[in-house]
Order: sequence, then structure tokens, then C-alpha cells
Amino acid sequence: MDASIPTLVQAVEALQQRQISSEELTGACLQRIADLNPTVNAFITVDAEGAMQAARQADQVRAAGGGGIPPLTGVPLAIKDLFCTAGLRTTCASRMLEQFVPPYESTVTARLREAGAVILGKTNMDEFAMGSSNETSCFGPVRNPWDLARTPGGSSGGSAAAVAARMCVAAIGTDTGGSIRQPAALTGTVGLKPTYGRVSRFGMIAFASSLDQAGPMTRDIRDAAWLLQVMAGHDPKDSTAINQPVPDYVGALDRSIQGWRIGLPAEYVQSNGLHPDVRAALEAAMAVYRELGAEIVPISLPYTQHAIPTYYIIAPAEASSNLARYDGIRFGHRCAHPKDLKDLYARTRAEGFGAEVKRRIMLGTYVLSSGYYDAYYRKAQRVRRLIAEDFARAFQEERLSVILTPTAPESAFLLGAKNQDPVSMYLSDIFTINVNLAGLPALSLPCGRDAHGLPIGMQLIGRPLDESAILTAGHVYQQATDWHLAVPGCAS
Amino acid sequence: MTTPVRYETVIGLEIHTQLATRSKIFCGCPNRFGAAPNTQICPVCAAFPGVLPVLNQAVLEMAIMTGLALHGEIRARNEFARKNYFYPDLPAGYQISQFELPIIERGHLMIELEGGVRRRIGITRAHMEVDAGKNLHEGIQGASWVDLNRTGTPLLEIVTEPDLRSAVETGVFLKKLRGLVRHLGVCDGNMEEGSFRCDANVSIRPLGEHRLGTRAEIKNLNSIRNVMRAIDYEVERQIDLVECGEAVVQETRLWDANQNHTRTMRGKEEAHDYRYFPEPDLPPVVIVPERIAAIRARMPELPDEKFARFQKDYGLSDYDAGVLTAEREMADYFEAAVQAAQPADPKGVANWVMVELLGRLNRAGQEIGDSPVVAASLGRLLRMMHDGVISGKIAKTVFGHMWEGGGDPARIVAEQGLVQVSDQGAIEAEVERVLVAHPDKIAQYRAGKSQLLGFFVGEIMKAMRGKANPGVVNGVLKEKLERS
Amino acid sequence: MSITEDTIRHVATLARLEISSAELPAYTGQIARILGLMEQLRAIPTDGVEPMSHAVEMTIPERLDQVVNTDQRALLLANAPDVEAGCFRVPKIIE
Repeated sequence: MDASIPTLVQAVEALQQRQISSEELTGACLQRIADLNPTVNAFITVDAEGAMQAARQADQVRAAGGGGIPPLTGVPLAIKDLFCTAGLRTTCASRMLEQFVPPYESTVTARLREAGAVILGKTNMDEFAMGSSNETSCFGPVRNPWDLARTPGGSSGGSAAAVAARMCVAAIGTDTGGSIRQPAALTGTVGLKPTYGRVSRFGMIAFASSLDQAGPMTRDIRDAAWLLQVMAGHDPKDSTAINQPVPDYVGALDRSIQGWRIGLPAEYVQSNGLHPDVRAALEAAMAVYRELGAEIVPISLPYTQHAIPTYYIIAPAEASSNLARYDGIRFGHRCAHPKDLKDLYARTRAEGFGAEVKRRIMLGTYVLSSGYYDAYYRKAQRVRRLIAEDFARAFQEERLSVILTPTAPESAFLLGAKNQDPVSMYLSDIFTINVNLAGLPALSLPCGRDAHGLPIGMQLIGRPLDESAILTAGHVYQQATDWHLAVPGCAS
Repeated sequence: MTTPVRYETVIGLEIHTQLATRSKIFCGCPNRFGAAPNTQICPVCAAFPGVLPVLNQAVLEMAIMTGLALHGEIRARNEFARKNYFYPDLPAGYQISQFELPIIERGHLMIELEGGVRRRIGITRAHMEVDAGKNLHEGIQGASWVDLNRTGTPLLEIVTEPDLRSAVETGVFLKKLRGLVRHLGVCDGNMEEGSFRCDANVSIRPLGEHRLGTRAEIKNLNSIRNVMRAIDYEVERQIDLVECGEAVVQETRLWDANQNHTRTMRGKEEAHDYRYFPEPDLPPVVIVPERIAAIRARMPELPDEKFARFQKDYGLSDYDAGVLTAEREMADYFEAAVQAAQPADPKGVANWVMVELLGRLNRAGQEIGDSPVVAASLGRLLRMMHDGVISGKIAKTVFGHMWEGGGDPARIVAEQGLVQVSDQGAIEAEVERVLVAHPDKIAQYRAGKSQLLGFFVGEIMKAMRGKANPGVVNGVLKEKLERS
Repeated sequence: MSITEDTIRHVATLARLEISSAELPAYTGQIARILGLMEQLRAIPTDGVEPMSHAVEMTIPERLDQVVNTDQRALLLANAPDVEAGCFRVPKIIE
């Protein structure tokens, strides 16, 4: 098998210079999907016909030449299966939506299509994005291309695995508590969660509305900058989309970080759950940054320790409401022969949702219910503000450009290791959740390997709307290191 | 023997007004009544996965306008919240509403009761929310159908304090409120079509008691008359219960207009727990004072302000000003007629509108907007009367023609030859003829039978087919009778 | 706040989820454990802290009052499991 699938920027250059056609490139991706998907299970739906047709169209656009050729013309991408794609089944990896064909297109995929991208298919994920190991998918778990016995992380595990295994040039994921960054870390890829509101949520099937954000999942930082450039921007269809101009992310990559102050939060580094191999990789990365002229500044984010309980009140509460629309009336699964309305609801939802989704719906219903709202939900919202203020204070007082942390406490764990114990699973997101609560941009990039040769990721967190800073910091690191060039065994 | 307990009725209302916007509250579907099922919906109304609400500006402005008209406080920072419950007509499984931070709080509306009593009815709050769709049951075998056309219609829910004390007061209040929202143009007030809906919370308590009794919430009230009937029934039911030593149960009851009673409604959700929380898809609504000022500046004059101005500027009585300002169309008609009648006395115009015009409209079962006589024509008619071109009696005849066939009063007067004769010479000649024909009556008059003056006036008017100017006739007649 | 099977049964009813008695103990135990994590929040002083419902401070955008959608019933009924006379069909609702 060859690993000749290029990165996004390489693909754009090759397509521009006619070294390859989109038809060839898309065909190569589809071939790799055909070869690897039976084992990796990264895709739920492969749209070979649609992709080839889009590729041929892209080739015609490039052949016609002239100015104004959209930036991603002919680039084959994989899309997490919670972005609604008009006419293309969108399941959220749930039995509930197994047959759902949206009559509308998400803003993210619409922008990608307008930019010329070819959509290969829809990637596997945890059901309704609820999970950290991709084991809650009704289509079965995704396997990590670095070790097929292990998880690629979740919930955007299919997108991460597809990128790592070179089944696509790049992919799109979503991140509510770490669902882009944690799988990126576990698969040796790059994943960026933008500032909340930077990318439109329209057409993205909601898990927790105040936390969900879409972002790129790529082989390197430059690719992430390219994709974000296309995805970001105001959208009148999303009332929480930020109405501010999109800066030139790609242009900002090659800045020097000489003199940048990089915050290192004590609470993350001293965390009990942090694996020594991850700590060692992070320390090595700090050394690289010092060599690049940055200063590592120890900081404290004292409310960090409360992130997990805060998140697991707010996210399930919003989810319990967001998932009320799945009632078997207008779309989705419906139980057979409902005897009355109550039976229709209760059985449809019991059959359509998996155990983790039901657990979170019940948890969310409970924390919002009469008598418990103040003790749980309102309390969590208050602590959320304290967590957000922690970051704002640190950035302000310490004049930080970015904050550096581990992405996940450990490398990819074995499938089945945690899925019997929700609490231990929830702790996988301990370093990523804060960022969603505070609405900040953050990315994960590979920074080493553990004793088993599995990738380790580190996280860079930025100020609100300063995606450029984390992209630049990530890019200069990748210019100095080669962790991002490693290819997993199954893909080489 | 103990004295029988006397009871006081306590009523609070929740009024759902459908705002008369062009499009729905959170999407670009038409806000229109009566289309074929599910033809006015989109993925947002039908709560498809991943779609998001975007607020209609007009909803916010109409809410602010209504809040100002109700003398309420407009909350500078208010927020939408989700009210969670399952029902087929609620596709998202939650209603986007407002809960802890509504847009309007602490308003009031003054009502006028018979005998000139004025009462202040407190408005607890008013909040923006989305209407549900409709479940259809009738004539469907073994199933119900869901039509989501109404889903997404903007509502302003107005909640009153428990300040109303009787069915009659409630009726007066509802008429006043309905007049107000129509006047503002924010709601068409149509109760049958459901664009102005009212639920009533009714309780009783022994007179003098300050604590509120257990209330029943009555729904399905599709006219003001039914609201009043339902309250009367419910009060009687509750008194009967209490008199028999039973307790009133807090529950929702449906008014059945055919059976003329209320009956308990089986629970929509056996345990009501709406799990309200701030709507994460919609940032808070922030309203700056400049915006409120701008809306206030372009608001039409309020009925109460109009009432005061009509009294002051036109010298109208309480009653007349009340009738003429009850509906915006009526007030506009009156003012246009006054304008056209100038310099005739506005009080006279008011009389004509209220007696001649409203009398005929009422008999015909029509509204002011249906009047075949336009305001300017009525004004011109009254102007002609004021100028002495026609007499009051002729004016009524002319008005009759205008009612039948419309048209300009001057033309009718000209065509029918109804112009008043004020010419001294012509009248003198006629007076002379009448006097010559009745020498006996002259003698009696001069002998002191002064009431015979009316006889002579009548004869002259008869001869001149009513067109003679009565003032001139009187003058000439007296002069001739007393001279010789 | 101790979580019992009754609590979970009630919550499942509110959430319209049929949970069998065989599943109930496991869900009860798991949710009780998760809620146990939340107990640490009680000790945090939060008086005067404004609850945070949105990740980013912003105010609601408004759209102009314009009708932009036309009839798309066929498209919107296409995913429905049971349709009759242009309506979504459900078991008889008793009011």
C-alpha cells in the first residue's frame, strides 16, 4: 500500500500544477477507503459516485482556467456525520437517524463545496457526539490506525482516523468538550476547535448548543489554517455566529514567536491522571519553544479542577432539550405499532438512542428538573464563569500569547477499556473541556510518542478570536520537529 | 343561624396575542392563517436536526410598543428560555419563550366601568414566545394529524395581576386590551381564529380574606362572551364546592360553549416540570434607551391619550369621548369628519357620528370601516348645515340619500333642490300669502293666543316644502304680526 | 440528594424514555456516580457570580421581517414515518 495521499496544501499545489487531477486524487482516496474502511471503520457513508462527479467538475473548473478558481477546487475531504448534507444521509451515528436524509445543507459543508471541495463521505463518530472513544456509534467503533486494538478517541474519531490513515486529504470534526482535539492527539493529527461562534453551527446536529463548534482535522497546521480560512465567518442563519472579519490565518503562519509568552498551567502539568510519557513529551516541547525564542510562563488556572462536573451538568442539560425533537413523528426512527402517544415517544426514543445518549438525557433532565435546577444547573453556570475568568485573567495579567497544555492525559487506550465506566471515560476530556466552557480557540498537534509508539498530542489555547496565535505557535513547532510527518503502521 | 358567607371572585388572565408580522418569529415562513396543512413550514418550524432560530426584528419592536402602551418597564436585557415538554404540535420538544427575564414587566391598563368607576388592572409581565402547531382530531379514524403551519407564529403573552373581580370587569378589560393591540396594529384581535386567546385563572375567597383561593385555569375561551360565561359558571361551581365542604382543586379546565360548563382536562404532561433554562441558541436581547425612544416616537396616539385630547380639544363628554376612542377607526373617522366640517362645532359632529351614523351601522350589523358614508362627506354635509345652506331637517334627508347611494352631499342637495331658502323677499311673499288666508287666526294671536305662532311657521314651511330658513321665517312672521 | 431507582424512573418518564426494570439498576448506579462528581461544586463560593449561559458575550442579532420561504411540504414530509393528507400522523391524541 502506498501512503502517497498528499496533505491539503500539497494537494492544492499538485492540482494547480496539473501534476494530478482531482479525479485521480479522489479515486486514490476512495481506493484507500475501500481497502482500509473494513478494518478502520472510519466512514459511515461513502459517496463514491457523488465524489467522483464533483471531482470531474472540479477538474473542468481548473481546466477552464481563468481567475477566481475557488481555493479547495478538487480537494477530497471527509465530513463528520453530524453535518447535514442535502440529499446525503446524515446519521449522527445513531439508530435514530439511520435513514435520515436532510433536505438542507449545513453552512460549513456549503462553504466547503463553494470553495470547490469534494466530499468523499461521512465519518463515524460517537452517537450524537457523546463519547470519547468512538465506541457509542451504532455503526461500531472506529479503530485507531496506529493500533487497531485501540480507540482513535472521540467523538470525531472517524475523521481523525481517516486523516491519519490517509483515506482523505483532510476532514471536518466538531468539538463540544474535546471531540476534535482528543482524537487528533490519539491519532497523531492536528485538530482545531475555533472560538465559539467563529464557525457557523447551522446544519450541525446539536449536542450542547453553547459548547459545540466545528473545526478542521488535518495532517499539519498549515492545512488547518487553510480549512479554517474557508469555514470561518459570519452566518445570518446562526444567531451565535460572531460577526467579525476573518483574519488571514495562512498569512500569519510564518511569523516568528520570538519573545512570545507561553503560559503553562500548573493544574494541568501536576494532574494526577497525567501519564509520565505525556508529561515527558510536553517538557520536550517546552524545550523546543524555548529554543524558538519563546518564554514558558508558569500560570495557575485554579478552577480547572471543577471543569468535569461543570461540563457534565451543562452539556447533558442542553442535550436533553436538543434531543427532544427525536420523537418519531417528522423524521427518524419510529417504533412499530405505537399503541398511544406515550408509547410512541417512550419506545421510539428507547429504541433509537444508545445507552450513553440515554444516560446523558436522563442526567440532563435531572439537573434541570424542578428542585434541582439551582443546585446543579445554575451552580454550574456560575462556576463556568469562574472557569472562563481564570483564562481571561491569565492571558491578561501574564500577557500570554498562548497557553500550552497536554491534550489528553494518556495516549490511545484499548477499545473496551473504559466503556463500562462512564466516569473514567469522562476524565479523558479533563484537559480539553475548560476551553469549550470558556469558548476559547484551541488546537492539538502531535508532540511525541509513548513507550508503545503511540502518538501524544499537546494543546495550544488562544485568546478569543486569536486562532492566528495558536496556528502560528503550532506551525513554528512543526517547522522545527517532525512528529506530524509520522505515518501509522496500517497506512504505510 | 349563621349569616351566609359572601364571596369575592379573583381573576387573573393570560392573553396570547399573535403578533401581526409578515413572517414568523424565528424563520422566513409566512405568518398567515388558513393555508393547507404544512405548506407554510420550513426545517426551522418543523425542528429538523441542526437548524437554528433567528429573531424577527418586527416581533421585538411590536413587543416594545405594546409594553409602552401598557405603561410597562422594558427590560434592557431580557432573554429567551426553553420550556421543555413533549407534544406532537411542539416539534422541537421545547417552546422558545421567556421565563426569568421577560421583555416587559410591571405595566397596567386603566378600565372604565359603568357609573364612571375607573380601575387599574396590573400587568405582571409580557413576554415573547413561539406559538405551537395544531393537532387535528375531528373526523379522523384512529389517529390524529399534525399541522405545523402555526408553529413559529410570534406571540406576546400578556399576564395580568389577579386584579379583576367579576366577569363584567373581565369583559371590559379584554375589550379594552383588544382595542389597544388593534389600535397599535400589533394584533388583529380575532378571537375565533385564535389570534387573541385568553386563559382565565379563577378563584374565590370569602369577602375580606386577603389570601388567594385555589385557582382553576380555564382554557378554550374563543370569545369575550365565552370568557364571561365561563367565569360565571366557574365561580358558581367553586362556591357550590366550598359550600358543600369540598375543596377547589388546582387544575386546568376546558370551557365547553355548547354544554355551557367547564370540565377538567386530562393532564398534557402528568407531571408538569418544564425544566426552563436560557435558550443557548439565542444570545440575550439588549434594548438601548434610544431604541425605545424611537419606537415611542413613531407609535400611534394611545386610546387613553386620545380620550383625554378629545375631551379637551373637542369639548366632548366622558361618554362621547369614550365611544369615539374605543376603536382607532372610529376615532380616525370622527377626526376626519371634524376636519371637513370646520368651522362647525365638533360636538355636533360627534352627535351625528354617534346617533345617525352608528345607529344605522348598528342596525345593519356593520363596522365603521363598512360605512357607505365616508368621513369627509359627512363633514361636508355638516359644514353645509353650519353655513345655513340646508337645515338640520334637510341634512337628515340628505344623509339618508348618502347612506343609500353614497355620493357628495352638495350634489344631492343640488339635484334634489334642497337648498335652504333664506331670501328675505321670497319668505316675505310666502308669509304674506299665509297671513291673508287666515285673518281669524291673526285676530286670535293678537288677542293673546301666542302659541299660534307655531301654526303659522308650520303653514309657511309646508308651503315652501321645508326649505325655508326657520330663523328668517320666525323673524319676518313676528315682525308682520306685531306691526299692524 | 440520593438517587434511587424511583428518581431515575421519574426522570425517564419526563424524558420520554422507556427504561426496563432490568436496565434500571445499572442506570441508577451510573447516574448516581456521575452526580457524585458534581458534589464538589457545592463548596465553591459563587454568590454574586452571574450565571454564564453563552460561551461568548454577544447580543441577539435580528433579521428583517421578510417572507423568504415558499411551500416545501413534499420535501419536509419525505423523512416522516407516517403521513396522511399532508399531515404527520400520530396515534389518537386524547384531550
